[in-house]
Amino acid sequence: MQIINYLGKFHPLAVHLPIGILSLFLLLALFIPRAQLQKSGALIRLVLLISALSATGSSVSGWLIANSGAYDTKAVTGHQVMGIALTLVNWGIWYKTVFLFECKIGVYRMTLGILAALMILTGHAGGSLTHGADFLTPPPVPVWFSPESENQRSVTWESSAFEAASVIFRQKCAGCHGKNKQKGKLRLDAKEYLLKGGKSGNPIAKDAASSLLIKRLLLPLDDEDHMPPKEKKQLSKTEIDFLVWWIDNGTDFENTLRAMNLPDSLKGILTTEKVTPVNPLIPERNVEAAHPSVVGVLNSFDLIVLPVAENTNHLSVQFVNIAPENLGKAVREVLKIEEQLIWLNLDHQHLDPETWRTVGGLSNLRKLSVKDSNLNDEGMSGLSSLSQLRHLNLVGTDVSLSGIEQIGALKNLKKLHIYQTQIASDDVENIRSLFPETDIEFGYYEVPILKSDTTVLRMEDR
Amino acid sequence: MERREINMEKLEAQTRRHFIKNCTLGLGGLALSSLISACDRGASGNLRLSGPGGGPMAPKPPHFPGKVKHVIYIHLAGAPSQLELFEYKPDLVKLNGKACPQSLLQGKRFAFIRGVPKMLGPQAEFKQHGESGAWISNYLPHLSTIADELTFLKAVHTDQFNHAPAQLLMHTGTPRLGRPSMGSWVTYGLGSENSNLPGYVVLTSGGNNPDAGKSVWGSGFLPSVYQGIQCRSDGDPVLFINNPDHIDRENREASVRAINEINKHTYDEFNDPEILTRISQYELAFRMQATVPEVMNIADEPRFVHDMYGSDPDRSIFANNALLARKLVEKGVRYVQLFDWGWDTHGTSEQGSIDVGLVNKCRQTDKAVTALVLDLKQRGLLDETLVVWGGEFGRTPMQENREGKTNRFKGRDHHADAFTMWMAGGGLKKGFSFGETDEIGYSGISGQVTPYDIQATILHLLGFDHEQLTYPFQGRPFRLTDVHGTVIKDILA
Repeated sequence: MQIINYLGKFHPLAVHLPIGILSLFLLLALFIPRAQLQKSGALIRLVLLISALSATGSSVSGWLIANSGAYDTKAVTGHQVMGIALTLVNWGIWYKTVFLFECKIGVYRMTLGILAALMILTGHAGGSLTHGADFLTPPPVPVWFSPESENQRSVTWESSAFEAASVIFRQKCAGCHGKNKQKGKLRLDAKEYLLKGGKSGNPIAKDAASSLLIKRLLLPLDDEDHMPPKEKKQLSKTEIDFLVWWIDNGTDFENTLRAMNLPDSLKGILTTEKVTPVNPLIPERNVEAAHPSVVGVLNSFDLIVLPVAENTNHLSVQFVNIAPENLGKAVREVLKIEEQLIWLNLDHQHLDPETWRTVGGLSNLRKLSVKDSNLNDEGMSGLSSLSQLRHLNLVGTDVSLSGIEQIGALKNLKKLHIYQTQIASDDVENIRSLFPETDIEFGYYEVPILKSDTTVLRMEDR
Repeated sequence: MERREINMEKLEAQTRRHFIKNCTLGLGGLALSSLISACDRGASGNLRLSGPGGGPMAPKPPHFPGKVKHVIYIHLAGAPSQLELFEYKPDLVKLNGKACPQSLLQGKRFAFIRGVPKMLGPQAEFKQHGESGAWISNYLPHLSTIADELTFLKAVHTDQFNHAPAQLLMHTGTPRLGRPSMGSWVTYGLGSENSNLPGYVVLTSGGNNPDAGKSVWGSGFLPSVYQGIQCRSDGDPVLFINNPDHIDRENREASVRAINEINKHTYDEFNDPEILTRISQYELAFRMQATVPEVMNIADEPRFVHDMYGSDPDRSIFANNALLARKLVEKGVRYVQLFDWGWDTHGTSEQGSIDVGLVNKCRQTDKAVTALVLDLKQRGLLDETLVVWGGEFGRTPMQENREGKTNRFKGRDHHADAFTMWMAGGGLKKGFSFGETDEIGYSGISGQVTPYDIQATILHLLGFDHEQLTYPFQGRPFRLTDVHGTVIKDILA
């Protein structure tokens, strides 16, 4: 009968009533001498009656919920026996309150002690059933003042797909389908339970489309069979996508995520990997900040010296506003921030050959733009030492194929712009073979002139 | 945190004595000032006169490394029809001329449609283009050749169906007047690289300014140094940029210096950041006298460039502005806003129809927009520039029936529920389309995004957390996206 299940759900609520009232009684007994307590005997009896009644109600609802099948019967037994015992003792001392007030003081204390012990033990056992046995286990003293941990095992590339799935199950499912509670007789906390399945069947199947687990996850939130239940914490899209992928790949319990080629879109489940993809234009490790006095000198040359973002010491430098007479001095000064400098813009600048060689000393450069500068093949030889370079913009310079050949060792280069240089279209193939991994932008796009571009359409033309 | 430090400095500068002195009415003044504080000119103080880089336009780092440093926003004022350009809806062909079902009209408001309008099939021919297979119509023969460079947002929706408020929402984050425009926020956050040029330039074409007026590039409560500077494409790019007769450059320099000295004294006394704006505008104007005529002059561009853009120095056309946008970005201008007017195709006139007028608008812009993207690409600028293309809303799948009568020409009404925009540039998935609409292009069915989401995404690409780029005004920090906006992660590379 559904009503029975429904009433059973009130158990976790109802138990707090007898606990509270019995606590009140025990506190009174603790602080008020028995003789004085006896004077309010009628009141005490009333308190005991209410607590006994509520304890009975709790026991009945507890019995209902125990039979609903949501809990491991073995785990329930202890809680059940103690709960019933507590109720009976409660009724007993209500029935014979006089005995309580007149018996030997030792017996009085012992009775109250038994009552208190039963209440605490029953309550604790019940709490463990609902929240898990280690719910109230305090953290070890050394970490008391450490920041909140996510209480999860890390998922790395070397974790097996099953370990990754287990982390999800532990966070989002184990409350009802774990060691302490097996709603629908389903456990998700070990391989054998997962394969065994529960009352509704086996959660795993040959593919995600027929998997009961996935089906339940994907049901509309309002559907009664949707898992996790509406009021519980839901799985993220990535988590669901990952489980789909895992089951579609044969529900692998052994291989690591690396071996299984975890797709990029699912990297979000890795706890070690930052979700934001690595930016090749920025070194992963931060550096010490450049000395303010050096930056001050650079600023005095009207250079724009800026961190590439607020929280990093990596710098970018732009020469856009510099006065030509300061150019040589400024470039040499820039060498002092070689460690921090990763982006450099020398567009439109005319440097002497000596100074171009100096630029080659900026060994951490990731992005260099020398558009419309006077860089030529001679100057290119200096750039061959920029081994970290990812983007190089040579647009509008006098660099030719032989200049490009001099930087052939720059294997990190991802993007090379050679529009309006001395490089002929026949050379492009050579450059491509020199930099097979690099995106080479040769340009010279044309947008054809169509007749329609310059004519106005009229109604009668249609 | 440069911005915060500047705020602190401003606060330190305002001593108690200064404060009492300013409040000549004493406590009464205090009480009054708290009463009328709602109308103050803002707690604007994010300016400093000197220091590294100097001035309110000094370059500043973004919150995190940005993918792009510049934005070129091409706004087709009047709202182009997505159903003639990017939204291929074969089902709409079948429905052509049939009465619009009630279910589409219930609870909806339109600018002009009254009663029950008829459905209107697409007037253009569609084909898939590029490896990405993007649907682009024959109205845009040039743009369809670069389909693989573009990132489409197919299910943008807004809640405004009139031009001015919708344009304001798109650019300032609210349909009402008074908020700073996106370009102002960006220059406020990042400063400007080229100290001889404005950081935020606006160019208009098509014969009219956008309906929302100059507020779409206004600085709102941000210091006015951040407002967009409108350059003309005809005659002097900036009015009065040249010295009057008999005034030479040295003479002008001396007077600007004298004026700024006086202004600096005034600032030292009153600390009004608007004085700083004035000083930096004087300085900028003086420097611009030398640089702007050069940058804004397209007559000296080589022939092949004009051939590519379809630009013509002797006329005042959109293509010139597209070329200028590239030149300005190349010179370090942060935000270039192009408005082209004339896309409002209701079908009330031949040039305001979707089968004639819209074709002509496309002819005026298609080649130049395509050339702009390709030119930025070959110059290595597309990696660090974001090009945004779009109107303020879309157009209805129904034919407009003004006052219940069918218009003389084929036209569509304003439609806020679903329209297409595209972006191109650094940090985006190229040749990618996000969002879908139903079979007649009436509403989005997946990937719906709002103007706030687009603003959040643009700021994200520039390196800003849109929730953190704020300005204190009227007692609370304001931001472009106000309380809305989610970065459209799906389109990020």
